[in-house]
Amino acid sequence: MVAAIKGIDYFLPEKVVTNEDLAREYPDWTIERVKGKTGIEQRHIAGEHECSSDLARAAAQRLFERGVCAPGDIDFILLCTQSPDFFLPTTACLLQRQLGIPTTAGALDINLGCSGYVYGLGLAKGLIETGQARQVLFITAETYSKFIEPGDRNVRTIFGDGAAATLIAHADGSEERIGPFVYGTDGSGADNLVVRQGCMREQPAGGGSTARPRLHMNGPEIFSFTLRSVPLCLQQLLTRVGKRADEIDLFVFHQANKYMLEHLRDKMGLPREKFFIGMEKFGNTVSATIPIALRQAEVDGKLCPGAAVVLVGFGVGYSWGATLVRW
Amino acid sequence: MTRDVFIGHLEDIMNVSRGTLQGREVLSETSAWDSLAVVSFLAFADKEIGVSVPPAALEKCATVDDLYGVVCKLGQK
Repeated sequence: MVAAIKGIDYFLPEKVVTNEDLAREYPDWTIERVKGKTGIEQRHIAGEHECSSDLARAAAQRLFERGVCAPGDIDFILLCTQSPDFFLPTTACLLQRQLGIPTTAGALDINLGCSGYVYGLGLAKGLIETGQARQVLFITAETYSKFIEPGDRNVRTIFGDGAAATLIAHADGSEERIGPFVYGTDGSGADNLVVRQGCMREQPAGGGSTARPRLHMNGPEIFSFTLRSVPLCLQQLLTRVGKRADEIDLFVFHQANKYMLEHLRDKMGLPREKFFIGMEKFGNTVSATIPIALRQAEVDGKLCPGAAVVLVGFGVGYSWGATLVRW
Repeated sequence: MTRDVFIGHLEDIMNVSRGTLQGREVLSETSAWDSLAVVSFLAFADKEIGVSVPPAALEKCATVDDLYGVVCKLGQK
C-alpha cells in the first residue's frame, strides 16, 4: 500500500488588495519597484470575521463538490496553520464538525509555515502507509493578514491569505508516489520571521489585550537563509532519489516571491519551463503556496500522470523540507 | 570586480542614474538603500561575485565604499 495525492483544490477570500490600493494608501511606497522585486500584483485578504477554519472549510468543500472525496470517506484531518481560530481547541476539531466528517476520524493541527505542505505530506504518508488511516484530508490555511501592521511595507506587500485542501489516500501498486523526504531545521533564525506577542512567552504590557500580535520579518536574513539552505536541500533530495535535475518534470518551490525564486532557479541551473512561478495574483499564502501552485499547474496542463514533481518548502523557523511526488 | 564596476551595479540596484554614487554616501541617509535594495545586493553578490554576504555585515557598513570593502574581503577568503 502506498500513499498518493488524489486531488487538490483551494479557496481565496473575496477581498482583494492590489498594488494600486496600497499605493493610494501609502503614496511613498514605490509600488512598481515592489512588484518588480516580488512579482506580486495583488493579494486576497480574509474578512474581519473570517478565520483560518473558514478558509479551510471552503477549500475542502471544493474538493467534495468536484467529487474527489466525500466527508464520510475521511478518516483523518491534518490542518497546517500558524493562525488558528483559537489557542484551543485544535482547529482541525472544529473542521470535523463543520465538514460533517465522522467522529471516528482523527484530527490534528500542525504549526508550520512555508515548509508546512512538505511536512504534512510526510505525516499523511506515514499515517496511510502504516495503516492508521486510508483517506487523509490535509488542509493548509493561513490568515497572516491578521498579524500584519498596515504600515509595514515589508510584509504587507508580500503576504496573502488562503487555504488549500489535498486528499491523500492509498493507491494501488508498490512504486512510491510521495517521497523520499529531506527535512531541516535551524532555530537560530527564529527571530527573523516571528509573531512574538499574544502567546505564553510575551504577554501584552499590563496583562491587557491591547497589544495585537504583529508579524516581524527580516527580509535580508530570510533571503540569505534561502540561498544557504535551498540549493543544498534540493541536491540532498535528488541524491536520495537517485535522479538528476534534468530528469525531473516540474519543480514547485514555496512561492515566496518572484525575485527570490528566479534567483534560486538561476543559481541551481533549473530550466525556466520546468520551474513553476505563479503567485502574482495570490501573494505569499505561506503553507498554501505549494498546493495552490500544484493545482494551477494541473489546470494549466503542466502535470501529466506519472510526472516527477519536486516540492521544496522553506521559511519560518527556520524550517525546510523537500520531497518527490509522482503525480 | 573593480570599484567602478561595483559602483555601477550598485547604482542599478538602487535605481539611480549612472554617476550618482561616489562612494562616500552614508547608507543610513540614502533612501534608495532600503530592504529591497539590500536583498538585491545579496543576490548580486551571490551571483556576480560568488560571495555569500551575511546581512549583519551589511548593517555594519556606513558608506557605499564600506559595501565594496565587505565584498572584497569576502571574496579573498
